[in-house]
Amino acid sequence: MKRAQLVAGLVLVALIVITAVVSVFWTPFDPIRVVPSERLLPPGWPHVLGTDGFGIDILSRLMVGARTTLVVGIISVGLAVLIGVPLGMLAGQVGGWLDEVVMRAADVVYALPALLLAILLAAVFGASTVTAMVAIGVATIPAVARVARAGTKQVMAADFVLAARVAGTSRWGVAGRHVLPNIAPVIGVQASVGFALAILAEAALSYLGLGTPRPTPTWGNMLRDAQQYLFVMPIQTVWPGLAIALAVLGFNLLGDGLRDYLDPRLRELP
Amino acid sequence: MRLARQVAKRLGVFAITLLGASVVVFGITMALPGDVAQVLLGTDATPEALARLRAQLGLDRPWLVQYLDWLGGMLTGDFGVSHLSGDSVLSLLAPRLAVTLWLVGFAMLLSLIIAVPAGMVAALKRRSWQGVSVSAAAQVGMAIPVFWGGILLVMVFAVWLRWLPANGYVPVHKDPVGWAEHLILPVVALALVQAAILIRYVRSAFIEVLNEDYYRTARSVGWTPMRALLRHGLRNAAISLVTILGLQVSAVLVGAIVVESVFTLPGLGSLLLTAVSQRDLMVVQGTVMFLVFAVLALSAAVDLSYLIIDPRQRSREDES
Amino acid sequence: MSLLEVRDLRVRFGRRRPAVDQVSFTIDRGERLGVIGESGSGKTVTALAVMGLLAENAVVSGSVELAGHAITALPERDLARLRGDLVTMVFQEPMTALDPTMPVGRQVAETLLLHADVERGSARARVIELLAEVGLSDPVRVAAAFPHQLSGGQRQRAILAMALINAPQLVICDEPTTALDVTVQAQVLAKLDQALTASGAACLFISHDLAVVSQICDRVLVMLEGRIVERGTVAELFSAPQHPYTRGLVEAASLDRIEPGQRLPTVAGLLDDPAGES
Repeated sequence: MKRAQLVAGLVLVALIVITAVVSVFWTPFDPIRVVPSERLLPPGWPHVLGTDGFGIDILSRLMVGARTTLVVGIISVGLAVLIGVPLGMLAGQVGGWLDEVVMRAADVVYALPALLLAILLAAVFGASTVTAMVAIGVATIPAVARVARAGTKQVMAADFVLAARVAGTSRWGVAGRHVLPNIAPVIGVQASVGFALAILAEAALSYLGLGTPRPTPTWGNMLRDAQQYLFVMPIQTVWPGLAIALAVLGFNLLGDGLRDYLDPRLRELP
Repeated sequence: MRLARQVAKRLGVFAITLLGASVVVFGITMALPGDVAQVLLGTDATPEALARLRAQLGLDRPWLVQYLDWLGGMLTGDFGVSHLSGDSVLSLLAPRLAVTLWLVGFAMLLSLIIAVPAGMVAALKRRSWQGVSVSAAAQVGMAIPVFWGGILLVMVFAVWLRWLPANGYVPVHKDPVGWAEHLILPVVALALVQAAILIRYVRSAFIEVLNEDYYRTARSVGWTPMRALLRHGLRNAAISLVTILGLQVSAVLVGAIVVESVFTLPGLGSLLLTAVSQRDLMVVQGTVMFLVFAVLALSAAVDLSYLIIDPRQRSREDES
Repeated sequence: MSLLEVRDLRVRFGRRRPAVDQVSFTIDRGERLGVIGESGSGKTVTALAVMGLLAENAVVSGSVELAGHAITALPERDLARLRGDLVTMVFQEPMTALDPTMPVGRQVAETLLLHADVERGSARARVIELLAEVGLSDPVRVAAAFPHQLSGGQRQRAILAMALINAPQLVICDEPTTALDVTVQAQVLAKLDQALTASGAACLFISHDLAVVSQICDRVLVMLEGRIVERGTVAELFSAPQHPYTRGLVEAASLDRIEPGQRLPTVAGLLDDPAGES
């Protein structure tokens, strides 16, 4: 049952990655070009999922949307890991006032969730994919840093680290050789869960018009467009929403499955 | 006085975090390419006009002075003035606050009403189909973005069944029934997503209780599993749940902003989004700072409430 | 007929080796039976099977009959009615066995109210009375206190009161004094002995410590890896242990006697009169 979770997560994530990669080379129709004569077609052939208010094939836009989603997710979670892991390790190793400062800074970022940060950035620089990625990335740092810090503290207290220290390995030698490999799995789990949250945040931002703007397709701005035709063509709101939900479910299942796989003791935790 | 010290410490953290957040918010707005005067007057403005407006808005002063002025203003309840309309940010906030508060308050309440019993079932029956299906439903619910959930609710209850309005708002004092009708779907949308997240935490909090010795004691003196959990588990699980609720405050507020947009409710979220599209910086800055304050104040309050729930925290007082 | 009859009890969790296998024993009314074994020997699982409190994933075969009730076959609702009334259990960890968020007196009173039709006022009076009976010197204060405000010995007495308040016919004690320090242990054991005698309740007493068991019990079972390897009176076990494991236990208990301080007085007293106090 638990293994099934991991497999289901992997399948969903693979599905999205493959879709995104395929969309680079091929989509059934042009995902950008407006075709006024083909507006708001219901699902059928050749437009399998129908066309939107601009006459663009929805399936093609969904496929390209997967790409946007993955790029935003990878860059923002990557940013969070690159900044959060060293910060967390530093806080966990050095402790004392530095620890306090890092944790207080994490509190500050927590009070500024991705949406508020994105709103601020959009007000100042104008809404774009970049402001969305920065906002999501920065907002993800605290969670990553906390996990890295807790893991580091745990590893540093372990006997084999004490032995290494006694044997003369420097603090930073220990960090590279023992801490990083040991906390990598939990960071991986956190990154997977963070990825799911990043997808949700990116979708929300582009739904609100605070992220990637038209004509670049994202699942969020597709929903925003589709909502205008809710009374005419309600089915259109289903596809992008379903895509978001499946992607989020995939990464959540992957994260949960990984956690169980790596550490059976955590099985009962949320 | 251990208790007083604990409260003081929590309030200290609250103040420091708020200060830090104000620096970040101010810093981001200061990074504006050009400045507010440039944005207001456009690129073809004369240097003299720019200079005059800068002096008028106080933008020619050093950053630190501007920051302290802004901060001091907020401490006295002055969140700034909209450059576009000339209204004070507070006068824009006040009428919209009620909408957001209703939404957030009812959604929090409803999500707890859903999540606590569901989480208990998920914990108690975790090896049978009932528990597994609750957990699975929560997993799926967590993946549904709140705005899509809202749109689906509109599709079913407003477009197909025509039971409830699709969007808009009526103040409670004008038309209580209309007010309720307009709030139901947004509240349910926000609450369902929140409940899905909470169920997992409730479940694990109750699983912890199930493994506790006092639960076994309660069973051994004759309580049925459900009653033992209600009688002895609820309070104990609440102690760990309170921490989660504190962490969820910001998620709920953010969710409310999105939901307001789905249902075009005239709350803080719509104020923010309008201000962003008009690049009305002072309104954005003031409203964001107000929301940050709300998030921090609420989570501090939630944190402190476990002093009330947990007698071990309370009675340390007697010992010292 | 015996009060408790356990026949061919076998309990397994998942696909692992049975935690309890081929276990049969009886307890008569008012009789005290000790079960000795190390942790993992299946003694606690046996006790939980008698209580009907085994985890859901336990697969049970054989029969447990308590005062005419077939415990292994009863639905949860009926079992709950027996627990706390006909049979109760005192657990090992006094530090964690009480709800930390509820005053101790209320937890004891609840147990009474759950099974007996009494008014709240008289329930409270009965709780105070019983707390005094189990040797708590300030029962009113203890009743109002939260668990963390009490010492381990005080808590274990409160738990004892909770177990005894409905005058059960069988009291199961799972290492009730292991977590306590030696002096307190002796006092709590003495109170338990007194209370059992007063109420005429039977007792299933689980311990890894032969010396402790011999203070309370008449007969002893020795369990090893889920099976009963030896049974007899305390005196028989001490004088002629058959199984090598039992021999080790007896030697350990005798070693205790030689060591200065600690359990010296009780063990010495016991060896002078191997039949125990009964």
